[in-house]
Amino acid sequence: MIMSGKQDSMRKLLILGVGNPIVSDDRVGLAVAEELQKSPPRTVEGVELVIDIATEGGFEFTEKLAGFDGAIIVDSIKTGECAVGTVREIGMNDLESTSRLLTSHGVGFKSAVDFGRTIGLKMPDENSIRILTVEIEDNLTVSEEMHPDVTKAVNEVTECISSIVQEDGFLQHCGDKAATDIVN
Amino acid sequence: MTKRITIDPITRLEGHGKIEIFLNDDGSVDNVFFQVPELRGFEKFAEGRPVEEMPRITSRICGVCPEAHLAASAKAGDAVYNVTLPPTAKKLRELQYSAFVLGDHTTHFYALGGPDFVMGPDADPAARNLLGVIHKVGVEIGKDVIRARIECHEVAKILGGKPVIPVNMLPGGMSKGLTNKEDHDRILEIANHKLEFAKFTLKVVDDFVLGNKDYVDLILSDPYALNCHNMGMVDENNHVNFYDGKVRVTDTEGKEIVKYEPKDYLDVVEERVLPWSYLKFPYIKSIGWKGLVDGQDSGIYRATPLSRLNAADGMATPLAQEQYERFYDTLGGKPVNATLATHWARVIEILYAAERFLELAHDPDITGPDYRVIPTEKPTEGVGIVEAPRGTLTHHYITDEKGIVQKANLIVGTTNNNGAICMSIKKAAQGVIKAGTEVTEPMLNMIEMAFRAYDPCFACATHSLPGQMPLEVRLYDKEGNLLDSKHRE
Repeated sequence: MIMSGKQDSMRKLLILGVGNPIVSDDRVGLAVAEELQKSPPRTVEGVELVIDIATEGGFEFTEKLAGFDGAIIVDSIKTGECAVGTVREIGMNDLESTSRLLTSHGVGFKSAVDFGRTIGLKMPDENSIRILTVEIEDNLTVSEEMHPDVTKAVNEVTECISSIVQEDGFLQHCGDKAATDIVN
Repeated sequence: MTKRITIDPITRLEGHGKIEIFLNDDGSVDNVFFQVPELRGFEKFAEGRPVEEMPRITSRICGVCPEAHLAASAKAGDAVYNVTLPPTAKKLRELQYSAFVLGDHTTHFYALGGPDFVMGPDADPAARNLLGVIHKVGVEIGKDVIRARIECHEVAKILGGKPVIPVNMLPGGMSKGLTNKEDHDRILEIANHKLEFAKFTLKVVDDFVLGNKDYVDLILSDPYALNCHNMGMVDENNHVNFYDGKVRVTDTEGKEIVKYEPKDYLDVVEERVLPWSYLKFPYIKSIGWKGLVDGQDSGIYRATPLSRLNAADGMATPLAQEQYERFYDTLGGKPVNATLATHWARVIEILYAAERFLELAHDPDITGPDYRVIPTEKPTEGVGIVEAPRGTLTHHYITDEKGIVQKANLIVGTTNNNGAICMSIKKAAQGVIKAGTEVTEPMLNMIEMAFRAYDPCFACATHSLPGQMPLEVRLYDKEGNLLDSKHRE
């Protein structure tokens, strides 16, 4: 996990790479997080940026997103509807088409966020969560190698994230909701 | 007219499982096929790597049960180097493992298994989930569930430096000890919390399941009965142990078939390949493969919380032993073959894990400085077995004289249960889908309950979404024309 611009009064934005590190293209979300950790994107004043990874899903999303005002999630997707390596943004309502965000150990991403809110955790509201996906080919072979086009997409995603974190509109919206107590 | 029902994943995705149900002309269930795609290439991936790296690598196979792979792999590494662990190392591993099982079982009970009983198996699916449970039982239960996960991860962080996918178990012991008083105090504090939470969870079972005669009848009903042999690891007293011991297999009448050392697993277990399934079907070698049938003459076994209790003579801790006795008193004696009783068995294991966690936290050896011995013998071959939350997990490595892996084999928890899951789904489907009836969502849920009890995880058995699958039910006529489709997450 890497943090930049840390101050108590700052709005907190999470960039979360999701995937399995040793199952071929499935690691693309983690690869994006690794790249961003090497060279964190510049953001606007007043925003604390945290770059992290998630390998489990389910309640892990509750724990990871708790306390943040906004989040950018990066995950693999396998639709067969577009070329391998295609980068797309989807909404919360499209989550059934992602490989890891839908459900894990019985709890999907949206459920995990709702669950956190229900038990009183401060969670980003739905308008403050952006989900970026990379179309992949192979998520069944144990390997640390990714498809060349998926590897190429890592740079595209990092550039996309760099652009998002400088969007005043998105970041201004983050944190509009009042914070509540966090489970300790 | 013959019909075909497919409980399929969301069609836009690959890598998920599906259930296909074939109906007879009169609408009753003829056969059921449960399919999941298999993770491939692990053996090739492992070959050429130093065996001491395997715990770190294999713990990444599955985001749901990394500690299980970590521990089994480290134990296999111990065997490869023929090293005996110092007491502190063994106890630290078991303490960490107990916390892991506790956290994993807790997640399953409250998020997956519990909603069917707390909310009811035919409740609106929009409410039949953890959020529904929270609304019914109270918001505090939600906080307790997340706190259980956070604190169990904290144990891994204290002992291994990382809360998720820890890498602190390695051939010869642990990379870090529990020598810091502040850390030890925190471990004790967490252990005490978890024991109270485990007791509370037993009360939830009492209040919402055992207190409802309809649910007890459902648990004991024929569609959810499966007469299989039982596998589970036991200690020297034949009590359940998750981390170490021999693997005991008892038959459908409760008699011991075999009790084997991990190194002998290939003498006991064989795997069958069936053309319609990516996953293999393990069975007891001495009995042989008789097809997907249950009963005393079939080699198919279960490796689940229920079968661990059935295969053992008791629990090693006092409160869990009380519950163990109550379990068999309530359900009509041993062995229990009611698949849905696996949920109660899982909660008894939560209690055992919590008691063992606290017991080890108080053990004077736990803070000792001798938490690793450096292996010195020439590496050869080794097998490590632990009880993963969802079944017996075996890691087997063969190395060259430099400790470089030449061959690797894994039998993961869910794979052990492949045959039993298929049969359980079939029995449940036969029980709820009757001639001439329309397939409804509650009926599908009743079928799903049969495999949900196993807590199947295909993140390592296959790559897919771990845990509950998104499902789509499709009803076909004899010619394969789609008649109806039902979708659920």
